[in-house]
Amino acid sequence: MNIQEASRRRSERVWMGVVAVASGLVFTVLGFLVAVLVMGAIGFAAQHGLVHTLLGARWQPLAGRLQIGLFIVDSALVTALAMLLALPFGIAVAIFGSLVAGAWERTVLRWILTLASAVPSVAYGWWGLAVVVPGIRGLGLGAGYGLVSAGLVLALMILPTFSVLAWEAILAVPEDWHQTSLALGANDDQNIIRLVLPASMAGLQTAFLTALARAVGETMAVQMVLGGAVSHFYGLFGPGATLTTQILTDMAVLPVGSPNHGVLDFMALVLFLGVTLMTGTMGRQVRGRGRP
Amino acid sequence: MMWLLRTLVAAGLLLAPGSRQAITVMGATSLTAYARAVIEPWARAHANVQVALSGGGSYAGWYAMKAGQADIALCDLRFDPGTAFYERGLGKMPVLFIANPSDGIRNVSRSSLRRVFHGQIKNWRELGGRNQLVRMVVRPVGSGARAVVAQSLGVSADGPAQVVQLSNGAVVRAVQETPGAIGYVEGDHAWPGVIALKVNGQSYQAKPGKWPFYAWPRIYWPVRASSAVTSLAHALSQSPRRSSFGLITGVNPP
Amino acid sequence: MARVKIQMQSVSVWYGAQPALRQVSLDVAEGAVLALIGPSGCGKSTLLRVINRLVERTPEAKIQGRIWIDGEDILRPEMDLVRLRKRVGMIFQRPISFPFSIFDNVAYGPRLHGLKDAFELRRVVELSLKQAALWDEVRGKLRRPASGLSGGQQQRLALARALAVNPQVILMDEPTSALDPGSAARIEELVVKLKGQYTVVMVTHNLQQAARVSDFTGYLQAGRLIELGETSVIFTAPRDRRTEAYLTGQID
Ligand SMILES: Nc1ncnc2c1ncn2[C@@H]1O[C@H](COP(=O)(O)OP(=O)(O)OP(=O)(O)O)[C@@H](O)[C@H]1O
Ligand SMILES: [Mg+2]
Repeated sequence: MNIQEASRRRSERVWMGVVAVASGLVFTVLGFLVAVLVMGAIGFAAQHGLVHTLLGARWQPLAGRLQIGLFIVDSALVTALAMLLALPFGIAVAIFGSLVAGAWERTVLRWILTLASAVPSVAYGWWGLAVVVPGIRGLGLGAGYGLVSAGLVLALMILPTFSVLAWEAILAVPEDWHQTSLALGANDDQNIIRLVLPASMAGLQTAFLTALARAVGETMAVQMVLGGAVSHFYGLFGPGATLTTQILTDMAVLPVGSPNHGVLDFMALVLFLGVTLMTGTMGRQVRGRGRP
Repeated sequence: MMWLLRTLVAAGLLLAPGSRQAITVMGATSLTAYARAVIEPWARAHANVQVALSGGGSYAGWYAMKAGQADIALCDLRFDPGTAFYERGLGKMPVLFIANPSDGIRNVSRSSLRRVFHGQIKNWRELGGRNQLVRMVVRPVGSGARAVVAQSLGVSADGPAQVVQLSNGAVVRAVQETPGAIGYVEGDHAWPGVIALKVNGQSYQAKPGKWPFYAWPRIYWPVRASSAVTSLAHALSQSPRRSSFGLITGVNPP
Repeated sequence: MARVKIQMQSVSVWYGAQPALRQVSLDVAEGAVLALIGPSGCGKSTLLRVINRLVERTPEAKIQGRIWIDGEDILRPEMDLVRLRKRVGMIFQRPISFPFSIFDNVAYGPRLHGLKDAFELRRVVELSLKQAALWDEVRGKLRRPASGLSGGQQQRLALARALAVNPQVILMDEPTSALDPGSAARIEELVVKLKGQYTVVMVTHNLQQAARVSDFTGYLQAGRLIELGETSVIFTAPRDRRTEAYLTGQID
């Protein structure tokens, strides 16, 4: 028995060791990654000026003009468009799936959403090229490449993730709350609008923020339909460039080791801080108001 | 990050049977297909050398080589090799202008082309084409094709681009599908669904010698390179296979 | 002789193929408190839930028979459920408060039924909280989250919420079984106070409670109403041997 105990202890210790080494490695790598990003960004900002870089809109990477204001605006617009489109549809899908659908419909819908959220983003880009771009063009709204197209593609891309998370949030509303509400004479619509949505607000906002983070960080699907114009703001239907797509596009001219590579670190950091700030403030609001 | 990659690569090499030398070739994506075609037979003849090939663009290749992280850089832009690097041209590769059939344009003068890419011509009507808005489809800054167009038309490489596409294929696709589109591609391929424009009445197909728009791909490698690197660089710069990848050989860069 | 408020005739309920209520017939007098007792799983909750038709939330549930409230057949297909449930309030075993403020919990029902006027809402909320004997504890704190209340307070809040829509019948499904004795006693007092003004049907496992608060007691077993009579009679001289066995602790 003592021998067994000792060997159990030993294997436990080995496992603890493995876990410690693994997590240590992960933290080291992550820390290193963030450190590289921050160092590059700070070096760049020190040289080019923070305000100058953030508020200007002249982007000529080979000529050393590196102002990212336009990309920030375009990132914000594309993300806002995507969220605005995905929000009502996502909530509708979530409500249908969690409360309205029969068992059979529910299974199929869930299966589709799970599959759709595993589709690589390039595939959404293809869909954008095949459907959205010609569609917008067909409406006579420009070349078809632009902020609205990117917003549409992104909306479709985040819809499955958002719907599934919202679905879970709605399912988390306990059955006896539903019954209490119904017993007070709520009809099904009132039950959803006055009880289910407010009661699952915290979960819905988490779903929203998760989808938002994915939307802000998306690169490939956006790049494919955004148009990549860096010199002007051409309107919502005109082409533009976001922080992520421009990092992707100009990685080729600003590779590691080139003089102005730091601007890419800076852009990545702006993106990172932007998302953190946004989720932080929205998250705080939720905690202030949501389920006490 | 590099130390980690190096450690991993080193570990990989240590585990590999025998001790092998590693060569990294990096640079313009438009040249990687050609490079792969040369590297494969070369590597078979040099079993003790392992060759890694990666894209990332001319700049990425150039800077990686300068930093000692790559051994050979594939570039479709010219860099200053100074005294530390060798430069060798691979020949020349045409850059063709392609237009959507709806533009109603088959021939443009060089000066009209300049005005188009300057954004001064807004409608193809102005050039005798249909009443159709001009939509430019361009490659990103740092692509060889864009540099050629910028240089020979005298437009800045950061001009008012309308739609940026990351690859030759994406440009072709966008021009095929977008009414009013004009773009440019590297290589002599005859793409379906687009019009290859004549410039000043010249068509590339009819008289390649008179065509004015060429990219001049090059390779660079360090003067102080191992004999294996030198050998591979020679193979890359002299291979007869160049012609099957759109490169016209036997010419010298301007 | 009091008016009949609720009349059930031969009501049976199945969940799928499983019967939960079998041919139950009973009358409840207006303003009376009817206690339902019986072993676990005998169909007490089902009997309550058929009165406000909440059983229909279970998709496979099937109802047979007739129920009248004030002479109106409430099981008929075209019956307006909203109107029914406005008249019939319900309190559950677990104290349920919505994740809103105390005020919004109580105002939930009136708002459903279209009450928007802020002044009137306030009046209804205050009145209901007073009826549920919670007003003194929560006045001035109406904007606080309801979840901050104790279990007993939350159960009284649930009662206030039910009273706020001005029902005539109140269904209570073991309203004190999740509460401490003190809180349970306060609920009992309330039930006694509500008597006369409301018709109450209350399920309980606590026989003393049934004896203390109810006018009538019904004993259910395996979906059948075995016996229903005045509480004093049921507890002292039950007619059916099965009732007697249950009351003396031989069943359950
Ligand atoms: N939603 C449902 N689906 C299927 N069967 C159910 C459902 N609800 C109740 N039943 C069954 O119906 C029978 C009666 O249930 P009911 O809840 O009415 O009993 P009860 O007397 O309230 O029991 P308890 O004292 O445990 O609360 C039980 O056998 C129960 O398992
Ligand atoms: Mg029950």
